[in-house]
Amino acid sequence: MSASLSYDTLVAERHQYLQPLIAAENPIIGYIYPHAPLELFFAHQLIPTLLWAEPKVPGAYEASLQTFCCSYSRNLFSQRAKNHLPTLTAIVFPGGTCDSLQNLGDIWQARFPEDTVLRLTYPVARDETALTYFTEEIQNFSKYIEVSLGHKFSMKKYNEAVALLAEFRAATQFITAARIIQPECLPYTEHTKLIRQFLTAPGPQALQLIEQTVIQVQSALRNEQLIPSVEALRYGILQNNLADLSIPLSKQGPRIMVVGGMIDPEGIAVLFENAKTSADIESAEIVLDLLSFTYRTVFTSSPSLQGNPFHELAQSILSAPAEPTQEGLPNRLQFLQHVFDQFAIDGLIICEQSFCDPDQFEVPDMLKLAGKKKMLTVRLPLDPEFSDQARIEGRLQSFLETLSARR
Amino acid sequence: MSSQPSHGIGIDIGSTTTKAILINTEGTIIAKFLIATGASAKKSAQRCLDELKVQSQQDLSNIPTISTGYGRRQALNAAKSVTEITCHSIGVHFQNSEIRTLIDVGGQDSKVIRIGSEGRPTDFELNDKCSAGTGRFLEVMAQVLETSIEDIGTLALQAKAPSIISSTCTVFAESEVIGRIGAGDKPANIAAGVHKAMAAKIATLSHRVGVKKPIAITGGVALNPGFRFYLAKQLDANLWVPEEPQYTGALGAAILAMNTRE
Amino acid sequence: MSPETSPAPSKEKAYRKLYTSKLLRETMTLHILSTKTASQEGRLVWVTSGFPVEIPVAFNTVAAYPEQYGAIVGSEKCGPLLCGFAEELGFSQELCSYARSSIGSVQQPEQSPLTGLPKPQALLACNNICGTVLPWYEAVSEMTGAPVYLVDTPPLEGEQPSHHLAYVKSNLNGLIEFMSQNFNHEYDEKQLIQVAKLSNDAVSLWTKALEACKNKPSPLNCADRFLSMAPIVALRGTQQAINFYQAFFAEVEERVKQGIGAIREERVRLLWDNIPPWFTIYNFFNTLAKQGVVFPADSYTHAWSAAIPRGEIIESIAKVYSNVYLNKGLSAKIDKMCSLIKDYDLDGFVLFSVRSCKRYSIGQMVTKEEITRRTGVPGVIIEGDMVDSQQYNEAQAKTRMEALIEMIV
Ligand code: SF4
Ligand code: SF4
Repeated sequence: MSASLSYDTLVAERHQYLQPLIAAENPIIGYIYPHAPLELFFAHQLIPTLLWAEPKVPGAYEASLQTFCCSYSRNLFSQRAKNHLPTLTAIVFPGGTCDSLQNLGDIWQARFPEDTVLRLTYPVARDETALTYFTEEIQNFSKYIEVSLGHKFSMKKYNEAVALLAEFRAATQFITAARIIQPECLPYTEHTKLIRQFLTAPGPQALQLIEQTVIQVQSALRNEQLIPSVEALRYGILQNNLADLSIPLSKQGPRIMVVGGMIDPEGIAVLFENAKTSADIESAEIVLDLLSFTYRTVFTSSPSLQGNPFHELAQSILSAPAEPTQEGLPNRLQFLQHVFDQFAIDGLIICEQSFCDPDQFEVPDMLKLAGKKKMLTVRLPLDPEFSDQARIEGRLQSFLETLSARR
Repeated sequence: MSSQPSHGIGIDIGSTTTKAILINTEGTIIAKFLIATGASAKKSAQRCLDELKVQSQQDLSNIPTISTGYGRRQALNAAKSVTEITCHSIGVHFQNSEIRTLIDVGGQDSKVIRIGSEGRPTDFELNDKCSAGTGRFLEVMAQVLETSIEDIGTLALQAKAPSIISSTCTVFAESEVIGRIGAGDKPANIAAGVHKAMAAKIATLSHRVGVKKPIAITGGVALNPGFRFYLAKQLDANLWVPEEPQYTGALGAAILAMNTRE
Repeated sequence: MSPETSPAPSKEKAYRKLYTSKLLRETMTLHILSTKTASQEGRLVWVTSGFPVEIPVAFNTVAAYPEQYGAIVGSEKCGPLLCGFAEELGFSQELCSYARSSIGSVQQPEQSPLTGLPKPQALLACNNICGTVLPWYEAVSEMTGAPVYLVDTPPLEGEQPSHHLAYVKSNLNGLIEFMSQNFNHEYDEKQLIQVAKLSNDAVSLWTKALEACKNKPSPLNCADRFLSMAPIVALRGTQQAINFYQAFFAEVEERVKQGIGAIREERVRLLWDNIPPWFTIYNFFNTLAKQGVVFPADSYTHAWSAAIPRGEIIESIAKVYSNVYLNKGLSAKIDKMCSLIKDYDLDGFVLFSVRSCKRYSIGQMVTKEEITRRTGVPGVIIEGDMVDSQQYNEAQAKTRMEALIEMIV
C-alpha cells in the first residue's frame, strides 16, 4: 500500500496561517463567498480571511438548518456553533449569490446575535446597470463599515491593497497558465496550497512565497522560450480569447481538468494524488481547475488605481469568470469548448457540492459538451467532510483506469 | 508471451462478501471461493487465499495477485489494486465479448459500465450516495414483507397488479410498503412494485451513460428474477447473466493479474 | 356529483366543495387552450410565479406558468417519472422538483400530462422568489431555443434603497425593450396602466376572499385556496381573472353570511407555510378536516395580495415585485406569519419543509421557535416535497400532525 496523503495534516497546517495575524491583534473580517471586495476591507484597516469549510468539524447544524441546505453552509454553521472559527471582528455574507447562503446569513444573525454580520448583495446581471447598482452597493457597504465598526476608509491603505492583490493575481495567473502548458512545473497540491495560504492570511509574507514559486516555475519550464507563451496564454484567458492562441502543450500523461464551484481545491488535489497512486498512473495531471477559490478568484481583473474606488471594485468583482450569472450559460459553454479544445483535456472531474444548486445545474451541460468531445467524465458528489472518502477515491481511480485504457 | 506469468489471482473484497479466483493461461478457473466479508476485510481476504491454496494444492506466493472491490486496499499481499469498474468490465468481456453495457447491482453500490471492444471500460456511472437502487434496498423491503432476499424476486413475478411504490429512498419506501400492507395489497403486488421502482432507478442511471446493447447484468441482485424481469422491461432489452455473476469482479482481477508483466 | 346539495348532516362530507370550482375548471381550461393558440401564433411566454406579468400581458403575449404546470404534474402523481427524465440528462435529484419535472416534460412531452406546456417564444424569469429560476430557464432555453430574460431583483433587507429601485427599474425597461424586439410590438404605457388596473382589481377580490377567512368558521380551507389561486397566478392582468374572482368572492361571502364553513366542524384553526404536497393535497387536508382541523390562512397564497401602488407605472411595478416577502428574508416572513396567526385567530401552525425549495424552507427551524415565542401557539415541521413524492413520508407526516393537534385540543 502506498503512503496516501493525509488531508488531516493539511488542515492542521492551515490553522497556522492566521496565527501571526491574530497574535498581532489585527482586526480580522471573515468572508465566505470568494468574490468579496478584499481591497475595501484593507482600506478599512481590516484583514480579510476567507472562511473555509473544515473537513472534521462535528455536525452542529441539525437544530438550525435542514439537511438540504448545501453542505458547505452546514459546515460553516457547525464551525461557528462549535467555536472553530477564528475570532472575527465581523463576518460578511453575500446576498443574491445562492439560496442556501442567502438564508444562512439570516439564520446566523438569529442564532448568533453577538456576531457582527454584514451583508453585501450582488447583482446577477452583468451589464452597465448592474455595475451602477453594485458600485453604490459597495459604497453603502463601505459607509456601513465605517459606522458599525468605526473603521474609516483610508485611501493610502486602499492603494497598498490594490497593489498587493494585483501582484497576487498576476503571480497566480502566471502559475496557472504555466501549469496548463507544462503541468510538471509545479505540483497541483503546491499550487493550491499557495493560493489557500494567501486567501487565509493575505499579506506580503504569503505573497512572497508565491513570487518565489514563480521564479522556480520559470526555471522549471523546459526552455525559456515557453515564458512568452505562458504570458500569451495568461492574457488570452483574461481577455476570454482563447480561440486564436497556439499553445505549445507538453503532452505527457492524461491531462485532467476539474470543474465545480466552492470545492476545496486542496482536498481534490489530495484525493486525486491518492487515486493516482492506486491506479498506478503517475503521469496523469490536473492541468487546470475552474473552481471558485482558485481559477475564478485568480482570473478576476484587478481594480485600477485611477478612478473611483467603488466603481473600480465593482468592476473587478463582476469580472470574476465562470460564475453562473445572467449572461452566463452560452458564454460559459463557449469558453469551456475552447478550453477543451485548446488545452487538450482528456478527462473531466465534475465536482458537485451536496445540495448546491449552482454546481448541480451546470453538470448536464458539462456532460453534454464533454460527451460531444468524447471526453471521459466522472462526477463526484462531495461534501466538505469527504464523508465518503473511500468511495470518492474509488471513483477517481476507476476514472483514471478507464482513461488509461482508452489511450 | 514468455514474460507473462501462467497464473493469476483475483480477490474481490466487497462490502458483504469477499471472492477469490485462481486462473491459468487458458482462462480455466482452477480454484474459487466466497465468504462473508465480516468485520475484517484483511482477514477474509486471507481466508480466501488460504482456501485457494487448499483447493489448488499449489504454492501461491509467486502468483501475481490483484485486489478489487470496496476493501481492495486492505489485501496487503496484492501486487496492485484495481477498481471494480475495470475488473467487472474485463471479467464480463472474458465470458462474453459481445457485451457493450454492464449493469452491476451489488449490496451497497450499483454501477453501469460501457465496455469497449477491447474489454476495457470506456465510461461509467455510479449510484448516488444513498442506498436507493442497491441490494440493500431490496433486503430491507424483503424484511418488511416478511420474506427472504432469495424469495422476494420470485414473489414479485407472481403479481397480477403491481402496487405503486414511488419512493426508492429505503426509509421512505419502508413506510410506503407498510402503508400498502395496511391497505390490503397482496404481498406479490407490493414486491412487484418494489422491484419496479428499483428497476426505474437503475434505468435512469443507465440512461446517463447511454445504453448500448447487448447488456449484461452482474452483482448479487442479478440472481433475482423479479428484478431482471422489470429491468429488462424498462430497458426494452434482453439481459445476459454470466453463470456466476458474483465472481465477475474477481475473475476480471485474476485476468488482469495474469497479464501483468513482472 | 354535487355534494354541496346533499343535506343530511350525518352523511355530510367533512369538507364542502365550492360550486365555483366548476367555473375555475372552465377558466383554467380556456387558459390552457389560449396558451396553445398563443404558442402557434408565436406569442407565448413562460414566466415565473413572481414575475411582473403585467408587462408581457401589455405586449399582447400570453403567459404560461411552469410552476403551475408543476402543480399539475404533482397532482397527476407523475412527478417521479418526469423528474427521472431530467435526472437522465444529469440533473441532480437534489434540485428543485418544479425545475426537474419541467425539464423532464420538455424532454419527453408525449409522456407528460397535457403533453407538456406549449412551446414558448420567450422565457421570462424574475429571481424575487429564488435563485433557481435562472439556471432552470437557461436549461429550458437550450432545449427550446427560446431566449431568456431575467428581471434581477437582488434580495432586500428592510426598506428598498434607491439604488436597488433604480436597478430593478432599469431591468424592467430592459424587459420592455426585449419584448418590443422579440414580439414586434410597440410599448404602450396606457396599455400597461390598463393591465395593471385589471391586475389590481383581481388582486383586490382575491385579497378580500383571503381575508374573509378571518371569520369563524372559515369559509375556505387550504386546498380551496391552493386550487383557486390558479387564475391570480396565471391570469393576473386579464378580465377573465376578474370574472372568476367576482364569482368566487360572491360564494365566499355567501358562506360567511350563512355561517357555512369550509369544513363540517371547525375545531382547530391552523396556519400553513409553504407549497403543498400536490400529489396528496386532498388526502392531506381532507383527512385533517375529518378531525375538525381547518387552515384559514397560509403564507403561500397570500403572496399574491399586493396591489401595484399609484405613481409612475414602471416604478410602481418595480416596488411591488421587489418587495415580495420571499425576497425579504427570514424576519419579514416571520412577521408575516405572526400577524396571520393573530389576525386569523389561529391555534397553531404547520411548516412544510419542502426539500425542493431552499429559499422558502431553509430557516424554518428558527422560524418555528420564533413564532411560538412571539405568539405562544405551537407549531410543527413536516418534511417532504411538492412534486417529488419520493421525498415524502406520509406516515411520518401524519404522526407529526397528530402530535400537534394533541398539543392544541
Ligand atoms: S456551495 Fe453552492 S449552495 Fe453552498 S454556498 Fe456555495 S454556491 Fe451556495
Ligand atoms: S426553488 Fe422554490 S421558489 Fe424556486 S422554483 Fe423551486 S419551488 Fe419555486
